[in-house]
Amino acid sequence: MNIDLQLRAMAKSAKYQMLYRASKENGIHLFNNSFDLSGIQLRFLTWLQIYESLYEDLAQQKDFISEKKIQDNFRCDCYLTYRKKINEFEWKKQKQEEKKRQIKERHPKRHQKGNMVPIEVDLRSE
Amino acid sequence: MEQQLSWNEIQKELDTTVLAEDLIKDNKFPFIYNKEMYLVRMPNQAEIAEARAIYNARKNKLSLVAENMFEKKLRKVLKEVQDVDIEQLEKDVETIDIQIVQIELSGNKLKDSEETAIQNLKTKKENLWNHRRELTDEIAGYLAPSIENQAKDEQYNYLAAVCTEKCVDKKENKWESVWKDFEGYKKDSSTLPYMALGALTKLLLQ
Repeated sequence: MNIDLQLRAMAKSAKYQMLYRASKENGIHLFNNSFDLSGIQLRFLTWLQIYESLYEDLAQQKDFISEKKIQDNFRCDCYLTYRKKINEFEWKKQKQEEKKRQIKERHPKRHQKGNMVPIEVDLRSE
Repeated sequence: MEQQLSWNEIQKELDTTVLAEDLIKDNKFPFIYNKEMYLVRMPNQAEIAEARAIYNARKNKLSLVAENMFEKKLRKVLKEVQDVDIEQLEKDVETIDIQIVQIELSGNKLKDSEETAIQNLKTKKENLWNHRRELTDEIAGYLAPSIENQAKDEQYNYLAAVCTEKCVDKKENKWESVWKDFEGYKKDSSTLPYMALGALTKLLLQ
């Protein structure tokens, strides 16, 4: 099995999820070295974070997530792609709301009743 | 240096000889060569800086030779002379990435019980991924002779030379550098430099 698949299998296991949690809460060392982390160690940390977030989503009973899905790499990737798209959509929506709020603050009088003046608003995302 | 094993064979051998569980413990990549223990360790800051200097020096030296080309010019020449459009190949890779995303978004909606549909999409994604890998290998092959890539090869070879150690005393856990210097690495005609370079590539996950 190639190294990346092995790292992924380890990261989703109960053993390493528990060790990861313990490393954050109790300062237990995951690695012998605490600096000059190798690419392999960094990749492993990334997978640990990803699977931790997936188990959190499962605990919160979010849509489209299941234990079986987490264990299957392909289905897990499908859920991660969906989650990324949702987050991107939410972020863009937040940005547009923020822009609207800033325009209202800059032109407060124009938003009072009976005093509406049409202004050009560019809500296109950057 | 005489290449006795292909790059892919070396990568496969490194994949099968070491377990990931051993690789995460430390920032080293151990391997066995001719029944002896070796390891490649992560480079320190000084070695990374030296490797960067070697990259720049190699780049400058190569640019003085008229036949050598920077990547930008190589892309142009490939298109005009060999009718190889690297930009189009890269666009094909992007198209595959979009198709993979579409497959994954469709796959996300499937329930646990829809095993056949899941398997079909999985196979589709694997085929696309394999095609994508072929394209990226093809692009890398065409661009390998560029000055930047040749300089990068020199950079990584230097790191493999300074970061490879051999176990000289198992009981005492004593390790020593394999090559005295970069020249010694370059003159080594065995497969060991390639194994070391392969291990370094895996360690860095480049």
